[in-house]
Amino acid sequence: MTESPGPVVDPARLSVVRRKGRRDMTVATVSTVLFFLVLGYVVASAPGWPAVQASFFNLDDARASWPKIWPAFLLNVKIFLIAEPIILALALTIAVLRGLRAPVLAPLRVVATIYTDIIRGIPTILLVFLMGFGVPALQLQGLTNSELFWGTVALIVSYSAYVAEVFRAGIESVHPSQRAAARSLGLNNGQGLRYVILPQAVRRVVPPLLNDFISLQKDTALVSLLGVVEVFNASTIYANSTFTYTSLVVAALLFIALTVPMARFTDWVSARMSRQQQG
Amino acid sequence: MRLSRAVAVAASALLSVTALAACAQETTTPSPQATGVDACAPENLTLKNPGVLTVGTSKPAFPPYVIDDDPTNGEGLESALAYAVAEQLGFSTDQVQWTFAPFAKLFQPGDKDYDFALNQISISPKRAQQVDFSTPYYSAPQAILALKANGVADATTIADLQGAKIGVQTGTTSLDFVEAVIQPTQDVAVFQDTNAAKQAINNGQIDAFVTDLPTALYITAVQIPKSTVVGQFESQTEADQWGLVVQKGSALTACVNEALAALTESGQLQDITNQWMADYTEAPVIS
Repeated sequence: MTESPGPVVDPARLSVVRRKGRRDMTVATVSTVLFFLVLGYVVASAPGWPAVQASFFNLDDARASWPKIWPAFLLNVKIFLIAEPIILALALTIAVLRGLRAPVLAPLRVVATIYTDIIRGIPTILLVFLMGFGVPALQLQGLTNSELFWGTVALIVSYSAYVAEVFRAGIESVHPSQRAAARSLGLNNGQGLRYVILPQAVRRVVPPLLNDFISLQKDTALVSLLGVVEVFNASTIYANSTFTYTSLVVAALLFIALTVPMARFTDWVSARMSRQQQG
Repeated sequence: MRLSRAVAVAASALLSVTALAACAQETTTPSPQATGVDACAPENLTLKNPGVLTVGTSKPAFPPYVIDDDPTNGEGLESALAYAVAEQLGFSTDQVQWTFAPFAKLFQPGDKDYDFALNQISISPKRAQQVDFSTPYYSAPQAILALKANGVADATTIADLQGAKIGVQTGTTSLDFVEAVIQPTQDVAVFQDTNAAKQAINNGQIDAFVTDLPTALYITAVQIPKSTVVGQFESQTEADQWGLVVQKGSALTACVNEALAALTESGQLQDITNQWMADYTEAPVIS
């Protein structure tokens, strides 16, 4: 980037543009505020609102359930932090296996394809249930029966299949000429993949990867099916014992607090990358 | 199980006496007698479906509360009780309609899908802020079951149980009981239903399951024959009393209570209880 004199702009024109910008901003602000005021009014004036407020938005219940919900939420975060790196490694391996071209490696390719097809076909909730109760039922020696362990494994299995497809899309989006160029530089297939293809592929799929992370953060709640007292389970226990839903709202807010920064980060990364590609 | 006409008349006479007594105490509810209209007559009740008493329960529903997962057969404590209450209120057997009331939906604000629900729901003051409860119709102690092969099966004291991995069902008073009384050293597993808990017991993922005694006896006798009820606990508090759930502020609550009072008075509630629960009370006491 070199310093260049910007295009010459008529000052009068510039002030018109600025005024329009300010006016647009004002209109946007007013319409947003108005929109939420009307929405708030409609909700608050609904005939069932007092009952809903007492059941869903009760500060006393929020405070009372917090000591149970917060530690349970940390368990969700822990599951996520453990599962995510394993998913990345496993998914990248599967994606690379699916892209192998050597005829002798055909079985690996087939296995990787079947894995992604079948696992993606099973709802995650079923996979958690089937693995969490099914594998321990085999009574295999030397394997843990921990429902937390098998629930996390099920999440890893499920998400690896999705993330593998994201990686594969990234790998296939790299133009074939890149592979040819790597070969012409004397790199073998493996080196070409490692130094030329994957760096480009992974960079391109960062936004969809982050998207899957957000999804995984929320799906950690599925291990509650197995009896693990994570945040969903902890909040339903409170809800069921008091006949109120406020604790579930608290759990939802905790998830939002976790995923919204992640979503903003994803947008920021995508925007930065598209700037880099254009610039 | 149907009451004869004469008994029904006698019962309703009795009912109006108790109603009068009830109304004398409760000045907030309008007295039906004062206006000369029976507020609890089917035609004067505000019902979910006009002319029909809609009763909610869980699905699947298990013995000894509902037999064969079919509440319409009038068999089992809660099925029989629902029909008895309906009869007291003046509904015939075919004017009773059953509906599936999932637990989390019991306390949804707003109109209910049922006129009353029953599903071993424990009465508590906190819950009573969101729904109306009838007077209690049954009370069962907590009990613990385990596979016969598990060391926990030999426990005779609470101290013997503290090292065990214990499971409970969500929405029951069992979790509070386990945390307050047993105080186990391992985290308690909390399942969405008894089926998941049974699977976990079979797999050895939990050592023991705490639930109400009749359910524990049924599970060990029928569903997991290789398990046994280790023991029952001395009844703790009133938290284990079960009531019918009615929409908050409903006029039906007073009527249902009148019906239950009449059934208690006539001994019919005791008969129903004896018929269905007699086989479900025996287990060694753990203290």
